[in-house]
Amino acid sequence: MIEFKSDAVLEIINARSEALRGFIDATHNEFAFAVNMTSFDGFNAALQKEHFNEKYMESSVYPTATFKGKIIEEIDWLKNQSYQVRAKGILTIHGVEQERIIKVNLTLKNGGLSFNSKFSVFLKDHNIKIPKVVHEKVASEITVDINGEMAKK
Amino acid sequence: MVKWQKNNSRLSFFFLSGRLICLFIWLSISQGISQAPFFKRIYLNRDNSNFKANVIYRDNQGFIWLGTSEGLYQYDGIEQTLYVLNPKNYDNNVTAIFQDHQNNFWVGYKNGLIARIINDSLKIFNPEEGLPKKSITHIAEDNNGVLWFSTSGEGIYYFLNNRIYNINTNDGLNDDYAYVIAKDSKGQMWVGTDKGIGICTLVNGKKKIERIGIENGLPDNIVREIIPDREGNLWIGMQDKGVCQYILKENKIYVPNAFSKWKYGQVNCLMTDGSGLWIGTEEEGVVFLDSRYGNRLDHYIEFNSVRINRVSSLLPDKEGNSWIVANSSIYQSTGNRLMFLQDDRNNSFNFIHCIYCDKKNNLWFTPDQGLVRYALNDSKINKVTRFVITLPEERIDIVSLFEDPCGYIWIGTMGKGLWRLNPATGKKQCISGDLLLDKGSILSITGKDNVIWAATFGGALKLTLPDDCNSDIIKPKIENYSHEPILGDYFIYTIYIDSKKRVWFGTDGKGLVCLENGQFRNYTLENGLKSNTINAITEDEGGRIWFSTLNSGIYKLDENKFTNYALNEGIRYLSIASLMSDRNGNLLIVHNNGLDVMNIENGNFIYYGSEVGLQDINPDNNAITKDNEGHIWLGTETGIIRYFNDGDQFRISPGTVLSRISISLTRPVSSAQHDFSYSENDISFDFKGLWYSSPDRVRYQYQLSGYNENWINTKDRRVIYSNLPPGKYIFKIRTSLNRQFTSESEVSYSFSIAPPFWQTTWFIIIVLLLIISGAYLFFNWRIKDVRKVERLKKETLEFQFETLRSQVNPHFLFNSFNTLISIIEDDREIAVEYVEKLSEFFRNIVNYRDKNLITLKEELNLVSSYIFLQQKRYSKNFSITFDIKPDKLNYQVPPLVLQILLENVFKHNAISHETPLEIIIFTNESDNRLTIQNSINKKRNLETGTGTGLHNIISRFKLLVEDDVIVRHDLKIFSVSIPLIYKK
Repeated sequence: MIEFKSDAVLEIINARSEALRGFIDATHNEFAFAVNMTSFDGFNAALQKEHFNEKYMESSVYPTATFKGKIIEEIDWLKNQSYQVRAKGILTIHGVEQERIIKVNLTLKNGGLSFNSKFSVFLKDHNIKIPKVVHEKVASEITVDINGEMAKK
Repeated sequence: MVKWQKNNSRLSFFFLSGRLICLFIWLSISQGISQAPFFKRIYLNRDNSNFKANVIYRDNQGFIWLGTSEGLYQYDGIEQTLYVLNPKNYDNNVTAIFQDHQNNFWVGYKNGLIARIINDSLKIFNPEEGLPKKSITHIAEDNNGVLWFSTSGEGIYYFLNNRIYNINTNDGLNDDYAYVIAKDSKGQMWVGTDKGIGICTLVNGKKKIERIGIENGLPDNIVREIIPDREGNLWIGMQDKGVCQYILKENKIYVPNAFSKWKYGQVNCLMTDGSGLWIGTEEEGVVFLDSRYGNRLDHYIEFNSVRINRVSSLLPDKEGNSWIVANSSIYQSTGNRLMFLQDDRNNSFNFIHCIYCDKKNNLWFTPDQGLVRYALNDSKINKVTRFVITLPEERIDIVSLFEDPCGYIWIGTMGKGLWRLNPATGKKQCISGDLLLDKGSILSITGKDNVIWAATFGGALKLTLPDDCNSDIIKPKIENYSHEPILGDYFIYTIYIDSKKRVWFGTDGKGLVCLENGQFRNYTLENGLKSNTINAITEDEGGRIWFSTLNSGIYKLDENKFTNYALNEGIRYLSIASLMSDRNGNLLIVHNNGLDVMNIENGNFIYYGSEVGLQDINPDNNAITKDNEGHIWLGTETGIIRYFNDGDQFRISPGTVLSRISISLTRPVSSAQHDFSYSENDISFDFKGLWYSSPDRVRYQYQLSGYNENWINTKDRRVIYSNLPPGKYIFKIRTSLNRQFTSESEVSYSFSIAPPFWQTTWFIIIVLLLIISGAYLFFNWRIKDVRKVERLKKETLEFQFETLRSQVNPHFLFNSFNTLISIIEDDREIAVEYVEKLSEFFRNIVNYRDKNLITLKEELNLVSSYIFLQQKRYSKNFSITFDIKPDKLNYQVPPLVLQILLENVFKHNAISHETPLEIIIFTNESDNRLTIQNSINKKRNLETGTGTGLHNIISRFKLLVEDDVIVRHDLKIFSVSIPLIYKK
């Protein structure tokens, strides 16, 4: 599940999506994740979701947000253990690529994997423009929460 | 050491004559001589044997910082402050220290943590991206203020716009193991790795990496250290191949010849100072590349007899000292400025009575009463020639040396005459021909062109060389000046020929003697000198003559004017052995306690004493010489010392730091705070004079202007001011090494203490206003009160008078008696009762008239006799009704008020069968009033004395209560309502 939160002066917007998909290549420590922008739900109003997709994210042009890269730390993928690792990669939102290091808590258990992470995204970094009128309703820094479980293939 | 004994009478030399049999043996011995700096170990934690220093750093203020296994130390030369992470269970092993351009302090740890100093304590840097898990090896800042961190295993990180980014092999970096990151003069970041150098830049926020490796001519792929030099090039220290240089302008790698056959193993760290390149190795101590000698490497593997292996960090400080972290311990060294000459067994040369540098840059000196020539120009340091000059029965004590124009060395001995040595062949000639020379003691030899001057215990000799002096045997013309009255046959300690060809003699008893144009003149006690014994003379670059006197310091002679320099001027010891000026405007003053270097221009001193290994050096007079490079060599009892000032503008006075301001000694305040409240008036200042060369010598002078009238001198580093009165202050602190305080070293801090609120002007004004208005109100109230009481008294009197007057109203009496007469006839019993009521009525008036208030019940009781009398008079034509609630009976009224009101009713109304009088007296539930209401049937002729009754009542109530008496008056009804007074 991926959830984002915009904590602005006048309004808190909280939306989430269950459509996060991805893989980790344990041999090379590489990973790739993607989420469909239109899959986000839970906006304060139906109109808000429409604005989110049409005006701000331009979901028809940039339908997905992705994060691809490599985990900096070495991980023993066969051991049942928890790690705090840093994933270094390219975060693409709104078609704009940003190199990021994202701190992830990762737990390996019986061949399965669960992870959670919290990071921030600045709208400016991804060229997401907010009209001045709604400045007090949309935060310039969006916090993103990700929780996921993965199975071995 | 040679001591000139004055009781060795000069006369004795005249009796010693006869021929000397001289046997000279000349030998050339190959012997290793090397120069080594003095290393002083600095102890930060003597208690902990596990204490390990890793890295050393200097901040912008000049403080020395040390990264150790225990945490971060700040060291000021005397004390250290330990900074550790909180909570303490963190591993505090500091591996990197850096201060950025905004003076933020960054600390990197072995476990990958990064911390900053915020409000004087370490706080872990906690970016969203997390921190490395591998050791931080270096921290650097690029030209855009971006901070870079190299790690041992995760490549490098940079911190830009509050985000951390990583560059590793995936981005094209040579390797993830980065030993070092350093900035070149173009602002590019150079990263040393196991697989060569990566040059990283950010172009519009995008990473750009260039690589340099073996294929580009790098001698070794493992690059462990990179430092920029002054020209903007980079020195590169490698694992196996020593050091190379990258010439940035030409983009070329250059390997100096000195490193072509590197044999000292892995390079850990590098440092440049004015004199050359210092190299710290993993197993072979410190190697020094002297930039002037090009290819020569000096190797220091022992610091004060301790074998040094691993050198992990090097640092030049602002005073020209070098700091070395070696074997995990900390050493401070004077570096290239002071070098100690050592033999091949690292022993120093002791008991040097004489030292001299010839024109070919050979250093001559006299260890163990022998004579050694040491070729300074030769890069092979082993080229040493030892001349053994001896006599069969005893050794010779050489006390003076001089090279004549033909390259022969003149040797002055103690009691064994004057000799002339051919350095090429070792052949010597004993110069004779004067009584002073035979078995004479030659304390000083100097000369100009073909004239040689020799100083003896019995006066001076002038020897004129023949035109062809290039011969092993010569016969100079000798002139004895002992009969010259001004110079005399006194001890002559030194002869000096200045740039104007004047010859100066330092005598024992005749003061300073000058021979100019064939004329002698002298300067003695009569000219203001404190002593007539002169033992050292020199000339500075400005043509001024300097000389030292016996136990009176030194003098400057500038155009016939003497200036004395002694303890007050900063000289540490008054008995001066030698003087010499260097080429950077300093005068070297040599004495038993070491070396004082005085800046001739400003009088500032740099001292070299026990802290650099110079203590009780017992130098011989004039055992000093200057070589062709400008090094000055001192011969002492404890060794040969080379002094060199490379002209670098090192700090020459302590750096003054106001390190802490605190309130009541416990609460530190920021130096940005300047305003304090009345209660914050216990202020203490901690200050430091940073002078690592000799921290104990720093003296302080402070003044709190606005409080202290004068400067106060102290050795302490803290001053406390208690109970400062409110006001404006400036705290000023100066530091000095020689008590010559100048405003250059001054640091000041201005602050003010606010007056307490009760001393502020506005408060005083408000209080005054309050007092005035309070007094006004009080008096006003008092006056009103007094007036009220007076009026009450007056009203009461009038009331009593009115009542009395009305009661003794003749009409009333007349009417009463008429009534009585008629009643007596009808009913005698009622008549008696009538008279009783009448008398009761008068008695009541008398009883109550003095009282202020009586209850309503009493008043009703009082009027009942009056009503009885009137009822008897008017019988059925008059009716009265009472409608009074019982709870009102205890309220009070002025006495007789009801009586007067009733009297008024009778007074004003005609009462008859046709016009009966009805009176109602009642109270209401809703208010506390009593109303007397009657029907109106006005009399035509009023009785006299009317009108005052009601008026009196109204004004009387005004004085008693706030409520007014209400009088209602229409055609039929007249009513008076009086307030009832509640009294507990």
